Amino acid sequence: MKIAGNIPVREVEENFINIQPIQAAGRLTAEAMKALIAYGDGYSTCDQCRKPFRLDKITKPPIAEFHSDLSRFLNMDEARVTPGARRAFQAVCLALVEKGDTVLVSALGHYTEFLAVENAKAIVREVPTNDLNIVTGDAVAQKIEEVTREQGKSPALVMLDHFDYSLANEHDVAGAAKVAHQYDIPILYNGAYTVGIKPVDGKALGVDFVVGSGHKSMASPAPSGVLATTSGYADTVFSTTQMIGDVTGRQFGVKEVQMLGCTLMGGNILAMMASFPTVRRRVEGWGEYVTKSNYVVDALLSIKGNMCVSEYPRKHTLSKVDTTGSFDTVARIHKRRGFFFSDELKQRGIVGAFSGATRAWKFNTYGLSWDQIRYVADAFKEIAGKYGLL
Amino acid sequence: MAANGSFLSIKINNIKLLDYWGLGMDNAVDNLFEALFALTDLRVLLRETAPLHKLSAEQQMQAREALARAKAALSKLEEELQE
Repeated sequence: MKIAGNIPVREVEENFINIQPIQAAGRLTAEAMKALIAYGDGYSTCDQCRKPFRLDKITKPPIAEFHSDLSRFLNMDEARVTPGARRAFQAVCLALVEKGDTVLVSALGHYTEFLAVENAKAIVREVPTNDLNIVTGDAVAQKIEEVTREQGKSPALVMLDHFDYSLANEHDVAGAAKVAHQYDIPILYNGAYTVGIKPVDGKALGVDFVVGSGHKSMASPAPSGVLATTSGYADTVFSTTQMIGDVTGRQFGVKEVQMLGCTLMGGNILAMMASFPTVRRRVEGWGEYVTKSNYVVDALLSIKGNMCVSEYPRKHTLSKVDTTGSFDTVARIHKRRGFFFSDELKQRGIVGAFSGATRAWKFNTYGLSWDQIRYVADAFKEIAGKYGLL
Repeated sequence: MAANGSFLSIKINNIKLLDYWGLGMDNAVDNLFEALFALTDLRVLLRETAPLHKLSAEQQMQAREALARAKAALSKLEEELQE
């Protein structure tokens, strides 16, 4: 089936169990799909945009209320929707960081943090992980001291992923926040892999900014995200334009500079809003999703030669495993090489594992039912059995 | 499957989709969205039961309800557009 002649209908989620690492928690709810159907037109949020003509002030549909709900959900004071987490990193960097400043990120930090820092003409320095691939508060303190010694001034910002994209290990954000504040440095919490799937309390963590990704973890279309902050930083990061046109004398009053005015102006924010009641409920069930994740990882570990590269037991639904000692031994002699494994999975209705990968690879079980979890776990063991790996 | 139940009001959670101008709803449009939304509920059911699509008794009931809603809305839509 094709759309407009050459765009294939995407049927991945309907026909397969999809364990792709970054797609799992961005799958839409039924309500979000309906919002896209009804609000897909370009500026659909703007039917009843009234003074002061800003997205977060619109009451019909209830976009203003959604912004308040978002800040309460994250226990912060102010929130804005953004076109992805990366635009939130960018907004904070452009608001807080000067040319030549240093920004600390994790050695497992996402590449978009690097780009946001570079965009502000600042310099990234990485906080190393410990032997367990965890970033600790102590490591942040050491790096602050090191940078301050070298440069004669402390870093301008710390950005730390709660769970990183690579291993989905949990890092000590609360410890890092405590340390950062001892040096009077603001800290940004990267919740791309937490906001929308597990409870996040910005005030309890002690952070100045909470960033989430709508399309990664809030059952929303791409791009979408959230930036929440404290009342102390809201005026800085959400500063309004002071510019006056020299010919026309035009001013644009309440438009926020770092947001570039309105952000998500169509189906994306409405879909995000439509998923939000489900998102708010589902974070309370995070523990069960982690249990399911461990069930699948345990099934993989029951196969001789397999290892869990991520911290174990798992605290997240995204995991990295090493199957060099099992599936890769088959790949070395199979005519399809590493593709034999993804072929076998696909024959069983499972997709999302990186095609051709049989050494280290990632998968995500978020959102799967127990029936689907058992099916995936059994499929791994069945494939291992077929090739004499059990 | 549906996050919070009623779709007949053509609301998605607390977002009133249509008629926020207060001019009254066109029945044809109302039924069009109702049919699309019912099929969307069915779509999500297919996702939740992939890849085998073996439905439990409760899921079978949900599927029947969604199909009935879609059929009823399409039937009304057909009548509306023939008037």
